[in-house]
Amino acid sequence: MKIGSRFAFRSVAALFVLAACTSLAYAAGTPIRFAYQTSIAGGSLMVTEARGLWGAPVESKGFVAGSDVLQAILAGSADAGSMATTPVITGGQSGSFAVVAVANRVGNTTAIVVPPNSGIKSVTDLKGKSLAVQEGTTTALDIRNYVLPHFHMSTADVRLVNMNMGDMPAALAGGRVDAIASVEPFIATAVLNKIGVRIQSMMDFDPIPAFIVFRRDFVEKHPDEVVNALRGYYHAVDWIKSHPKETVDVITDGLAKQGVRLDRPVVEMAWNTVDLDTSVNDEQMKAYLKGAADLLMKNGKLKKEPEWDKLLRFDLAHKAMAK
Amino acid sequence: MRVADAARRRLPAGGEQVPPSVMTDWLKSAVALLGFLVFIGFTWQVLAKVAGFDALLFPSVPALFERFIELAKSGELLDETLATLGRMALGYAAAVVVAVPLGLAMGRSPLLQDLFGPVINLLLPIPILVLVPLFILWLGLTLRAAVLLIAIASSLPIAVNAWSGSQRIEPRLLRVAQSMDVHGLGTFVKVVLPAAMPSILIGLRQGLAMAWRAAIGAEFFSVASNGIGSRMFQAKDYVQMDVILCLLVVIMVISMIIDKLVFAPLEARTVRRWGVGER
Amino acid sequence: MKVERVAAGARLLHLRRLALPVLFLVAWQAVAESGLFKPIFMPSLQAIGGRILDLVRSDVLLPAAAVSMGRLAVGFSFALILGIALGLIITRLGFAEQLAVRLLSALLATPAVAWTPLFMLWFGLGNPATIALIVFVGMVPIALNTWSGLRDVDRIYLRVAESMNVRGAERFRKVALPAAFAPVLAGVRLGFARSWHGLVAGELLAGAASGLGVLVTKGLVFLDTPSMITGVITIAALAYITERLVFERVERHMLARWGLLRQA
Repeated sequence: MKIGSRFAFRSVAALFVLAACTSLAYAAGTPIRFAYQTSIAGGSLMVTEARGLWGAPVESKGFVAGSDVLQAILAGSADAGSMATTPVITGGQSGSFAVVAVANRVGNTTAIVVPPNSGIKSVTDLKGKSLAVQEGTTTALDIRNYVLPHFHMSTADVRLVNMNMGDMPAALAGGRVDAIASVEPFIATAVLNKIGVRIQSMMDFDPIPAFIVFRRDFVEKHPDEVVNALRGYYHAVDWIKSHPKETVDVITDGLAKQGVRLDRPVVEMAWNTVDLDTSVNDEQMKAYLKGAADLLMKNGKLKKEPEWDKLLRFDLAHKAMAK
Repeated sequence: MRVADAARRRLPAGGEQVPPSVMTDWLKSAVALLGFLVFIGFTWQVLAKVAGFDALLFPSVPALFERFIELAKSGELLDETLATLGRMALGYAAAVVVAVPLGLAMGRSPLLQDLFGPVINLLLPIPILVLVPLFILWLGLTLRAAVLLIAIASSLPIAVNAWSGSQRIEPRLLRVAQSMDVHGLGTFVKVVLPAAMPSILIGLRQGLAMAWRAAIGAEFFSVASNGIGSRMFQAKDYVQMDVILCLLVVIMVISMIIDKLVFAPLEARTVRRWGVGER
Repeated sequence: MKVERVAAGARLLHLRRLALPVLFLVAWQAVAESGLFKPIFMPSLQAIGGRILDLVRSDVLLPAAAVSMGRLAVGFSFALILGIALGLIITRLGFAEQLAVRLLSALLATPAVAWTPLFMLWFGLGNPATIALIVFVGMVPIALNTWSGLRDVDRIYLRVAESMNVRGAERFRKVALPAAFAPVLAGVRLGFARSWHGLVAGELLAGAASGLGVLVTKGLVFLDTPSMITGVITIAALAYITERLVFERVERHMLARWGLLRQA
């Protein structure tokens, strides 16, 4: 193709201008599109946003479960979010995102809940009954591989019904299932409405770290912004630890902004189950995730392990913690 | 519908045995579909390599084949499909048993027409999916709820068509019956039913499509714990795109079977035999 | 139907038509008040009515309806444009024409809901998946009927046009297009119905954050049955109104105006 010199000159000039503008835009701080888990794990992230600590403009959207956050990130409609073990591994097969830090530990936010006067006192009493779980969540993984075997049972003894966490309180109240493996704040909703009581928390089996993840192309283009954001997050966690009451207020507002209107006592009860431990030991964490991946493969839900070296970028968390 | 007309025009004009053409017609469609899928598959492969599409969201064609064989071998495919079809059949059967007589009766009785007509016409344009949460609320996530939902959904088009068919019977047919001393139930069975048969068959066909739609829709809401729809929704939770695509193909094939293969031969035989068809 | 009978029983007919709905409402209220079931399952008619008014006054219901209908409008507009364009393209495909038509028929036979999980993963939860669903399921019947309508334009019209020296693009615009109008309109109507299915599927299943579907899902989740029922009723009412009252009138008006009204 013949290109005239004037045309060539003009195109090069245009490209320069374009490049200049783009880099200016980057310098100004690219907005981060966050996907928050409204299943209470996202609470501390909401506080970070409320206190303007992410270090960059933020657009946020709420999703109930980590697996929903995963779908948003895969589809490219979110740049970052929090999700627990199972979505990280399931989604980790794709090259889309990197795990950069631990937000908190949510083992105690998820538990098996039964109606108050059902006579079901422990998991063994669930034999021959139905239990609602949301497939794709770490809760489902733990129930299948830790909880049931621990009580010498399997899915042959307890019928698992696939249901969204959010639909579970209604199902329990309506007697459609005998028990639910739900997550906060739905558990608190059930408890405070006197339609459910906890009989088994997942915490006894799995601390369930909730991870902060960023899209891989974002991490590659703006690693400093990610470190900055994490630094801001750790500051927010410090603030949360010293301001428990205000934290609950901020989270209640944050949830309401995402369309989840809850009473303060519900949020308070739910938030109290979150463990704000953000520590990361690279070796342990990798071993933990590998173990979970093996279980998923055993359950037939995972084809192959994610490439751990590309997926796990805790170096960014360490950088942020080093100050 | 015009498309159906155009398709039918390809069938032999004064046709005696229609079924073979319908079969080859359907086979051609199936081959076309599969051919197209293979074509898409290859383009996709190339694009994926070139544009670096996420292998998770855009599985390669060999991966899809592998998964399909896996699902077939493990018996999962058959089990889930049969579960859905079974539920659909139950609901559909119930709908036919209730809606055909009701529709026929409505066509001959102004009272029944006034009683049921408004309700049926009101519910007809409403997407059945919107009623699923109500069913979940009242009946829970049970087989009963699913079957009832399917039954109600498919009974509407069946009743409407039976109604219109029985309403449009040529009066002279009824007079002839009367003159031959056929009354009451006899008239019904020997005159009304065959005369309305073309409409009834249209209704049955639409009803079956409706039942299939309701069956899958219900499964997405976890009203049933197994079935091809449930499996597909579960696959979404684990981002198993290959499973979703395999099951989607199966659903498409079954939809095509329901749409083309199930009723065409039946229509041809009964309508022709009883000599009441317009074509 | 005998004319005398109609005249004499006119009032009776009207009353009878209301019988079943009235009976339904009466039975509902009776069950609700009897206390047989928890109010979660059978809220009284006052509770439901009160909630409807509540949601209208607190500026929740109408904006939600606007959002949902907005999605439908946007999606369906695209479905219309893409569908007609696709239908046109198919008529010019030569050997690939049959293939395309069979493929589209297969797509048409597939229930709209079945595409939901796929689109959720590809386009993302919420608006992207919902609108993609609306566009996709709506455009298939429109494309098919456009193709079929153009195909079936009576050769006679075309020959007459030729004999009057009207050819090419002008013939297309003045003869083929109007003649194909009736089947195309039927396709548009079917496409609209399918788009409704897409909207409902998207809002109830694909995690929409706003709109009428949210009323239903949140109502179910947070045990707020009156709100849930309000959502269901509103969606059902809008579907009915747009389908029956709008489309039917438009179709009849246009066909009558263009003198194409054929015996149904």
